[in-house]
Parts: sequence; C-alpha cells; structure tokens
Amino acid sequence: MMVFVDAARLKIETTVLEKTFAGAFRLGGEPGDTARLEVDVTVPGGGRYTLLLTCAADYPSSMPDAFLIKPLVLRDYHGQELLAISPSHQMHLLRPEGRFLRLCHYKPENWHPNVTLYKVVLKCLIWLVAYENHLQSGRPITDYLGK
Amino acid sequence: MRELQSAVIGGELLMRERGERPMHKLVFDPGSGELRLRPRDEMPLAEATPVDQIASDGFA
Repeated sequence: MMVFVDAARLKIETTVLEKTFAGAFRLGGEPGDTARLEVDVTVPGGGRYTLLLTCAADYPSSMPDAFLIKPLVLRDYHGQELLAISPSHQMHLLRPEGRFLRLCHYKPENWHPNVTLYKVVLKCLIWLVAYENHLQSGRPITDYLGK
Repeated sequence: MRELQSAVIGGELLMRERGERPMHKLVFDPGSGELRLRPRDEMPLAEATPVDQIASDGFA
C-alpha cells in the first residue's frame, strides 16, 4: 500500500504542482515508505536548488519535512557550512537528517490539513530568497523571516 | 537585474519584519517559476499566487 494519503488528496497535490512547477517536480512514494516530493526551484538571483518534502503516513494532519538536497553544501556569509551550525534558530534550520539541511517552514499553529505541498514549497522559496540575501548582507535569516 | 530583484525582495522582507508597510505584493509567478514583486495597486495576475500571507505567517 502506498502511504501517500488518499487518492483524492494525491490528485489535488498533483494538479496544483502541474500548474505551478510543471516539469520540475517528482511526486511519489514506495510501499511502506514515506511519500516524497522533489522539486527544482529557482531564486531571483540565479540560485537553483532542489527541495525534498517527505510526508509521514498521517499527512496532511502532520506537516511534511522539508530538506534541501541540491546543492548538498550550503555555506553562510562567513563560509561555514550550514550543516555544521544546524540546528540554528538564527538561520531557521532544524536538526538535519544525514547530509540534508532541514528547513523551517510552517509554524505548527499555522498548519492545517488544507495546506498543500505547493504552499510548503513557496515557504521554502521565501527561505531561499532570505538565504541569498544573507549571503550578501551577513544578516541572520531571522532578520528577513522573523524570529 | 536578477540579483537586483532578489535584493529588492529581501529589502521588502526586512521592511515587513520592522513593521513597515510593504511597498509591493509578493507573488509566485508560475510562468517564470519565481517569486516576484508587483505594485500594491496592480490588479492580481490570474495565474499568480499571492505569497504575502504565506510569508507573514512566520517560520518555525
């Protein structure tokens, strides 16, 4: 059995992503595994990234995890690997998983089952814009996204 | 020009965090696959997704 929610929800997620990230996403899952969404995104400024969202069996009741899987190494303004300073409140990074940075996105109090993976991707895009601005200014990401 | 756009979005995010009134609307343009700033008084583009609320919800 595929863990990814029900078929109707999968259709909604796919329809929204096809309208917004056509040709740039892979959505699926293996039996007994978590569902996965990989999506290629571009930040105004030229940065290209690949995000991975993983959904537990109780999604959409629970929030997905959001990881940055490409590029594998991101550094801060001072040249330090973000992985080495994770988790970091100032950079809005949660505890990483393996080599993958785990990005903060929705606050638990703002999450509800109607939020789609598309909106989580948009949230991650905002994080990436803040990150690219951090690289120029040295300001912590909390300056851009709040504490 | 692209770097300028990113810096302008960053400037808007800073303004919002300081409690200042934003000068633009932040939208996601599926045509380009990128976040964009649009004039506040401009009619919303049919295909664009408003991102202001998503940004102001905060991060955790």
